Amino acid sequence: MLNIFYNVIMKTIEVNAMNVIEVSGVSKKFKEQGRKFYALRDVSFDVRDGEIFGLLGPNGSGKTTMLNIIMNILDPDTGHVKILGKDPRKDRIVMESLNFVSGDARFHWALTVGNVLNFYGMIYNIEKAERKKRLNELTKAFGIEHLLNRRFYTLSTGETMRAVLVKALLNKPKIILMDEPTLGLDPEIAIKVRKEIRKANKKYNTTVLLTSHYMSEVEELADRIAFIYKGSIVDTGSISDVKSKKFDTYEVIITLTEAKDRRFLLKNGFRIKGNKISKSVSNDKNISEILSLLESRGLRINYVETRKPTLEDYFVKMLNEAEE
Amino acid sequence: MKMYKVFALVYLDFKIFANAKGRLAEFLYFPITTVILWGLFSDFVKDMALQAGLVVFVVNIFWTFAYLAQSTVNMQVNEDSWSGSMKQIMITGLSEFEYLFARIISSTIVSLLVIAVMLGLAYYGFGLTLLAQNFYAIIMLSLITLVGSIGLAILVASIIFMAGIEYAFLGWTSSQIFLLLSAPFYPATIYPPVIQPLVWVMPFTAVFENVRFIVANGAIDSTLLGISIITAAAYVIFSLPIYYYVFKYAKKTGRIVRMS
Repeated sequence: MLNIFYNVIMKTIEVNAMNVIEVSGVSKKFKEQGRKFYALRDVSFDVRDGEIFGLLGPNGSGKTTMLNIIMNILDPDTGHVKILGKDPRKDRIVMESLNFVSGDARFHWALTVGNVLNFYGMIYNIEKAERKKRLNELTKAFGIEHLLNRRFYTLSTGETMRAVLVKALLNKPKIILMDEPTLGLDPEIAIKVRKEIRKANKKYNTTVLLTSHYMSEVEELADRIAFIYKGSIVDTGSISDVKSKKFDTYEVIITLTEAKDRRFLLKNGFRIKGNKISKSVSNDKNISEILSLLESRGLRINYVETRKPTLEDYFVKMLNEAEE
Repeated sequence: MKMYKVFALVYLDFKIFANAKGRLAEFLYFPITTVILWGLFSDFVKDMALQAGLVVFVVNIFWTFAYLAQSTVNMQVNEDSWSGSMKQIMITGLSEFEYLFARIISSTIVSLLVIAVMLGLAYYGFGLTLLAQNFYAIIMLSLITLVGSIGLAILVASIIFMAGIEYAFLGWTSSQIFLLLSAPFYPATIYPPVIQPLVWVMPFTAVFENVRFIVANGAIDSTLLGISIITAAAYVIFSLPIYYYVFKYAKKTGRIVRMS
C-alpha cells in the first residue's frame, strides 16, 4: 500500500518537473575560412514545464546556434535535443507544439498580416472556424485587428512585434522560443510585450525559452537561466542562486545628515562620498547592526538604501571571469 | 506527408502571386508577348518556310512553359530566402519533401494555366490548327515537359541549398543552358558528335524533336514519345534523392540557417 502511494507521489513529482526541452551533450562545429571552430561544445541543459528560461551570453557565444538546433533547422554534430520527450528530427510533428518569436521577424513583402496569420493557422492544422475564432481573440487582445489587410512590411516595429506574438500564440504552443523579443522596441511597447509573455506563461502554462541582451528583462521574466560563453554552458540555475554564487555581499548606502567622525567610518569599512556612506555587507548579515553602530556614535541617518547585485552585474562578472 | 502543410504553403504562394505584380507579369506578360511575337513571325514566313515558322512558334510556346514550370519552383525557394521567412516556415515541422511538393503544386497550377492561355491564343489568334489536329499529343508533350521541368527544378533547388543563396540566379538562368543543349529548333545531329550523347540526356530534346516531327508529319513519333517520357521521369527519379541528401547536408552545415 505504502509502495503504491510512493509511486503515485513520485509519478506526480515526475510530471510536474517534466522537462519540455532537454538538450544533452550538443556540440556543433563550423568551418570558416578553412578553420574549424566550436559554436557549441558539449552543451546540456533542461527547460522545465511552465517556466521561463533565459539563455544568456555575449554576442557570438552560441545562443542563436542553440536555438536553431532546438528549432530543428540545424543538426548538431553530436548530442541531441528532445522536445516534450521527442526527438524533432525523428518526430517532426512535435514542432507543432512550439513557436518562435524573433525581434527581427520578416515575411514576404507581398503578404498582408491576415495572409501570414492564416498561413500559420493552416500549417498548424487549425480548423477554419477555430482559426477564425482564435484570430479574432488574439488580434483583439493585441490590438491589431485593424491591421489584417495591411502588408506586413509596412507595420511599425511595435505593430510587427504584436503581429508576431499573435502568430506565436495561434497554435497554443506548449513552448515559445524568443530570440530578442523586445529588440528595438520603445520602452512602452517592450513593457507590453513582457506583460504578454508573462500572460502567455501564466494563462496557458506556456514554457518560454528566452534570449535577450536586456538583462533587466531576463531578470524580470526568467525563473532560471543558463550562461553560455564561447559555446559552453558555464553556469546555470535560478537567478537568485546564480547571483548568490557570484556575489556574497550586497551594498548598503546610507545618507547621513552630516558625515562627521570620518576616522570611525573609514575604520569600519565605509566609503565616504559627501554625506553618503556605503559599505559591502555580507548576505547573511543584518542591516540593523550597521544602523545601531552608526547611531551609537551619534550619527544621524537620513536615508538608507540597499543595492543588491543585478543580473547585469552577474553578466559582467561572468564575462570578466570567463575572459580572464 | 502532411497535406495540410502542403496546402498551407500553396495558399501562401498564391497570395504572393496575387499580391506581387511582378509575378503576375511573369505569368502573363512574357508568355502572351512570346505567343504574339512568334505568332507574327510564323505568319510572316509562312510563304517562305512554313514548317520552320511553325517549329519556332510551337517550340517557343513549349520552351516558355518549361521555363515557367521550372523557375516558379525555384523562385519560391529564392523568395523565401530573400524575404527572410525561410526560418519561420521551416520551424513549423515542415519536411523537406512537403516544402518541395508544395512548390511543385503551385508551379504546376500556374504553368498549366499559362500554357492553356498560350495555346488558346496561338489557336484562336494565329490559326495554329495543328494544335487541334494533334490535341492529345500536344497535351501529352505538355505534361512530359512539365515533369522534365520539375525534375530540373528539383536539381536547381538542390544546387541552391548546397551552394547557398548566392547561386539563386540559377533559378532563372539555368534553363538557358538546357535550351542550348536541347536541340530546340534543329535536330540533335546538328551538334558535334561528341556532344550528341549529352544532348539526348537533356530533359526536353525528345519533346522538341517530337514537336518538329508533328509539324513535318502531322502525327506524333511514338519512339520519341517513349524517350521523352523516360528522360523526364528519370530527371524526377534521380533528382529526388539528390535533393533529400543535399537538404540534409544543408541542415548539417547551416546553409538552411544562412538562407533564412
